[in-house]
Amino acid sequence: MTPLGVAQRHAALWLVVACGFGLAMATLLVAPALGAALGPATFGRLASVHLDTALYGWCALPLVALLLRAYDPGTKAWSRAAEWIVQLWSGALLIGTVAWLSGISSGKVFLEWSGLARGAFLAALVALAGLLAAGAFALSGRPGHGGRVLLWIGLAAVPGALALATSPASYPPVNPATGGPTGADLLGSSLAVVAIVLVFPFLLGLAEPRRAKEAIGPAVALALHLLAFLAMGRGDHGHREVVQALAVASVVVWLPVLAWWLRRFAWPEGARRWKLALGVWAIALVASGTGSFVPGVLERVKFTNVLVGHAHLAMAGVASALGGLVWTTAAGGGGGPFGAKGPFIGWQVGCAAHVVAATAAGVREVLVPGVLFRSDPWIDGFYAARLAAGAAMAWAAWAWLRGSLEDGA
Amino acid sequence: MRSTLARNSRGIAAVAATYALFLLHTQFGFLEQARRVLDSPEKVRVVMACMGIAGLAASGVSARFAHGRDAVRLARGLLAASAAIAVVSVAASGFVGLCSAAGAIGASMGGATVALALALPALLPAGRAGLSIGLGTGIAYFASNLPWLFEGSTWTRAAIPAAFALAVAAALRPAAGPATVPARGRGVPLVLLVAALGGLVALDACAFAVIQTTPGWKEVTWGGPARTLLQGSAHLLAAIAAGVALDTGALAGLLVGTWGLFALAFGWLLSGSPLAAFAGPLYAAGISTYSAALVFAPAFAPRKEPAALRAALLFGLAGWAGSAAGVGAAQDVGTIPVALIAIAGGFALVAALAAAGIRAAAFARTFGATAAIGALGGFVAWTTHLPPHHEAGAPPSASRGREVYVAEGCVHCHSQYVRPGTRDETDWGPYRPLDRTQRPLLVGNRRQGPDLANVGLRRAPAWQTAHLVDPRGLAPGSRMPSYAHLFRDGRGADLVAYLSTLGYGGDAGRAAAIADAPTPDLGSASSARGAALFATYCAACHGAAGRGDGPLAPRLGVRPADLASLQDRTPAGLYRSIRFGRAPTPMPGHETLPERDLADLVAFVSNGARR
Repeated sequence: MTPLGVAQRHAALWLVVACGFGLAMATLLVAPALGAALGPATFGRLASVHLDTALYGWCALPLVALLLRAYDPGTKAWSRAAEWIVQLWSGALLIGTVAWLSGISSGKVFLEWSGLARGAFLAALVALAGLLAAGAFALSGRPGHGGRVLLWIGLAAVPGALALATSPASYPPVNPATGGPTGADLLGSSLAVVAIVLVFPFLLGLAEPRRAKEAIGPAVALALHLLAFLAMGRGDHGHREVVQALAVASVVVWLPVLAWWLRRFAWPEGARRWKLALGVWAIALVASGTGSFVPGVLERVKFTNVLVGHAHLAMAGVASALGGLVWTTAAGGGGGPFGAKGPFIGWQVGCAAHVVAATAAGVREVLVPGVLFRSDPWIDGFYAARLAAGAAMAWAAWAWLRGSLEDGA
Repeated sequence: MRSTLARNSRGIAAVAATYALFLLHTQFGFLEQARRVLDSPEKVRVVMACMGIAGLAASGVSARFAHGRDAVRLARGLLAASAAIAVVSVAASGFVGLCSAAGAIGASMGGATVALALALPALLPAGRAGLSIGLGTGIAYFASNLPWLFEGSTWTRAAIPAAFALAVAAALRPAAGPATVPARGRGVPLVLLVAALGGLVALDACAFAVIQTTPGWKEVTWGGPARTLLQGSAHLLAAIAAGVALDTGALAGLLVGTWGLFALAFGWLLSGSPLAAFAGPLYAAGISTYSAALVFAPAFAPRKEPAALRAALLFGLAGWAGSAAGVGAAQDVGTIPVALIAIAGGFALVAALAAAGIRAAAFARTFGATAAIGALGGFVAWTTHLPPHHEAGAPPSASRGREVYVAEGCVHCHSQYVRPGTRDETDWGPYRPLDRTQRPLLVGNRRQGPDLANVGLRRAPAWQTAHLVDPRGLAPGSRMPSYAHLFRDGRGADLVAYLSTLGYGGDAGRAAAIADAPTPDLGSASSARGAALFATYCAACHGAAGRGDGPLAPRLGVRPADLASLQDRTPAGLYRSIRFGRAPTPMPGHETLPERDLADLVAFVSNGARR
């Protein structure tokens, strides 16, 4: 079992956990009286586990696996250390899960790390950085060494950045008109995803290091875009400011660039449908993001299910497609457990239904403010549809976990 | 397909006859007879216990006795005996007579069901055992839900199925051809199968008993001939679908699926959701699904143990004991216990996980270190980092209450940010810039419930306490869970103290926001519609007649107003009181009710809240 295979199993397990908690939450929205059975583990505590296991387990581990693959010098000791880092990463997430369910919380949505769980998570990040440095050193002189060192320098800042971001003392800039993120921050996170997709083919081994010069054009464009982002400065800015609106709108230009970029490589058969899913979800995500940031729209949709739908587009759509692309490409050929057609369709249909239901519920919230605070047959129907969609996604997650455990067991 | 079912017709009829007799008489008709004849629930309990014990014992004896014998002949004899006993039992009267009859019914039906399970491989020679059993099960349930039978007399509910059972027994003989062989693939370990099916049977038995005695629930399930027929149709379709699924090896999935249907149906009933109208068919579909699985499992599911042992344990423990436990729970609790739903779900899930056959070794190798790190670290975190203990009786503390707010994840459903220039300002204002000195900031990112930035200006502590304990009592249709458990120690009081501080110093701004809100045209409102809205949103505190004597009134500290004696009865004044509340009294605002609803309520209340 390679470090990548171990990471795949862990990612699949966390997806099952995230889906399980998501299903529990969806059930509570359909039938709130059932909450009495869960006692102290109420909706709010479950939400932390659902969000964070999806984000730091299912979505993050494919990227960890990619790095472990790219920096692997092929020694047994390095591989064993890599496996331990995956275990430590998951262990931190498990500590976090116990903590969140017990009511130990930082109160920071999406960055819910505190106490011992935060320490373990940051330790995993530091250990990962150290292992990658050792790998880069051992690979010195091999093709692509310069690129690996350059990437490592960028990655070395991640533990510090997350330590800062998870601190209770920090809070990101806010759009004063809505209480949500600024256009600049949305641009920054979008460019991070663009950067990941650009280096993807190299980390996956689809592109020879000598083909790096083909990436020069997009890389220069990304650098210029990053400079523009940095020049915008930080601070609280509203979405009615032209610069902020332009920042979000400018993400659109990357859709054709990334589509062109990903088409240049020969993807294994089993990965192609994931690549297609990535394209479809990315278009939907950018359309949803730019559309909802429009002045006059954002004021209405902020805090509604429209943005819940947008969040699922990002996590269950784009981030999951990136993960699927990693696992299937690494497996080659038919794509291993993540190449199976049934669970793939189940996941995509479930995700689409989830997004449509959440968006429809959100539109109703816009039209009838406070409708969620009462019972309404339409809203109850939307919640039931979301539960069914979640069940389809949970089934897919389960199938992938089973496949991962049987694959090379 | 037609030829398969024709060749399996005797087996299908046997399943239908046995189930119909069990459903119409054993489980339903005789219970009603006992209730009608006996004067105390305790005596009824004893009678039904006699039946359960006899059924449990007969299941074991029958399984043992069947060894080396012709199972078809045994099934024929026991089915005929069951039919005869059912008819005779109608004449039973008095406590002793009913106990004796119950024992005889339990013994004969317990034996008959086990014998039938053992005979089915010989009675279903054409294969498709799942479909055939599903069809037989569905026919029995459909027939049992024919209104004239469902609402028939005890005699009707004994004689009709008994006659059918006798006819089937007379025709019962092994069909030509080899017996159907068990399905291949991984099965569910027997102990888990018994636990999962037992949980579902108990849940079903409890729910059925409660529904039959709860008028509102009876209405949306078996309320009237049309609904009863709809229930029967749902039974039939679900049983056939379950049978098809059983032939594909989906036994474990059906257990989880049944639980999902039950959880949804009972959740809607318990929550009073508008979707409770659909609870009946879902519940019926769940019953048929597990019922088909229960008959299929002893002889046809992949297995290691002898079919006789499986039949005895499944029918004896899961069937008879599970049913008795469920009926007992219904009598003791009077509702469908949420804990029972959770336990049944847990059993079904564990059975499904086991059936999925994930190899324990691979699992341990891959996740062992994670589990060790997580368990150790989680234990340390749990024991060293829990929020400070909140003593009951200690003075409430807003700062500790904020910790409770963070710990409970309130931020996932409630924002604390009034968007300037939007309706937020009227509903929940005033707007104030972000106070970045707070740690952590609790802006939130979505609203499953209202914004709380100024909730201290809008809701009195007594209302907050009552609402946290029973959210839907004060806010019908709310999806907020009950936080009654926080009031077992001091956390609830601390949380209320914190919520009461939110908006501190903003009284003038709040008053201005209310003053700036325009009053809509209240001229064309409907007082009749307002009466219905009053019953939903106001009667819990003000009482059905508006006299201030609603069931929640004692929890509010001060008596809610008698609406007949209100001083300000002007439509504009009432509109503001209803929409924005009357802080600092416990009278809450109804900020997000549609304007039309508010106008109708005003029309009703301005008439003194009298119909």
